[in-house]
Amino acid sequence: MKEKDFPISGWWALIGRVGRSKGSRVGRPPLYSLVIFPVIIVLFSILYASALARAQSSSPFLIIFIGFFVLLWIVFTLPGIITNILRRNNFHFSLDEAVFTVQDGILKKEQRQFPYSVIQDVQVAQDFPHRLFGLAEVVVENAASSGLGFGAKPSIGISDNQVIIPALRKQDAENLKAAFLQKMQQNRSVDTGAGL
Amino acid sequence: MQYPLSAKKIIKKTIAGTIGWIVALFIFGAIVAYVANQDQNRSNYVGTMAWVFFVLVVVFIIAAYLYERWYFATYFYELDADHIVIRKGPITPREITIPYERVQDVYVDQDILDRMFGLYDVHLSSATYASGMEAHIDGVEKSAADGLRKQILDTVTARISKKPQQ
Repeated sequence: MKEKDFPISGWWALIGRVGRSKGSRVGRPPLYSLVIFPVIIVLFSILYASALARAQSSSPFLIIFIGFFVLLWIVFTLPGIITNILRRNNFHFSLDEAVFTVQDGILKKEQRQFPYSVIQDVQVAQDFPHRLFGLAEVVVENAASSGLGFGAKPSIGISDNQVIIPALRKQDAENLKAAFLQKMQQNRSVDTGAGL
Repeated sequence: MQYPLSAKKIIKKTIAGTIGWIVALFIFGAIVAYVANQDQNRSNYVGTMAWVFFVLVVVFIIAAYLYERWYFATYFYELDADHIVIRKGPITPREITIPYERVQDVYVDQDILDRMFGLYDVHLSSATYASGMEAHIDGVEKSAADGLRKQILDTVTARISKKPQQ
């Protein structure tokens, strides 16, 4: 089973939280600025136009004014969308026989193998943007804690002790969870008394 | 669910979420009463303000109560043969599935409101940070808390014990 069996929706380009920010703070999805900026543009344009009408003067400045906001809109939204598309296209996983393999990263490449026997839990979650599009994310955790940049949290791929597979159709997410649970059953850890 | 959540949890969480507003309302009411006593001219205006604030707080409490009811209705947990599944959140649902082998310990606690209502939270510790956030069954009565703890511990012990099964 590979990522093509569980396709990540193209909507993720809009709803993926941008960046790999330090600490618990995570960037906003491009969707928010995509929606909020036009509202601001329209609002300010109406205010500005009515002010001009009251002064009984026509002015080319309205166009410049709107152009400025459109530029801001593009600057704030487009890089996030492009980064998200690149991240999504560079994220690969496959559920192999005994290990779960993940490849992640646009420029800085990471590859990790998770034995199914050390998976701590499987989560299925829908935050608000995911709900908007009827999508869900699957999170798989092991107990790793060292040397992985604790606190850095992208919303796709490898982060700390988690692998996040976002923007799956709800049914795909359930199927993927079931696939993980089944693999974990087939690869139960044997207690040798040496930990894990 | 063999050990259902207590319906008292709805009241408890409504109070926990709105207690700050209720206290603020009382303080504001006291100030209004004082000002109205001191100055007859301003009492009308201040009285209207107090009413507006009062209505807002009531609306807020009702909204919180309805949300908690909804939360309660969608709360789900299951102790199946191999996993513990906990799902909560009506608007942004989160579900966590933990194999019994991964449970490090089980503990039961109460905060001060839980003590007033006789409620207990059953927590499952596993090795990850997220499970500490997600994996607890909160708002059960004493008997259910004891039952849950015993059932989970028995299953975990049976799973990880090296002793031959009886």
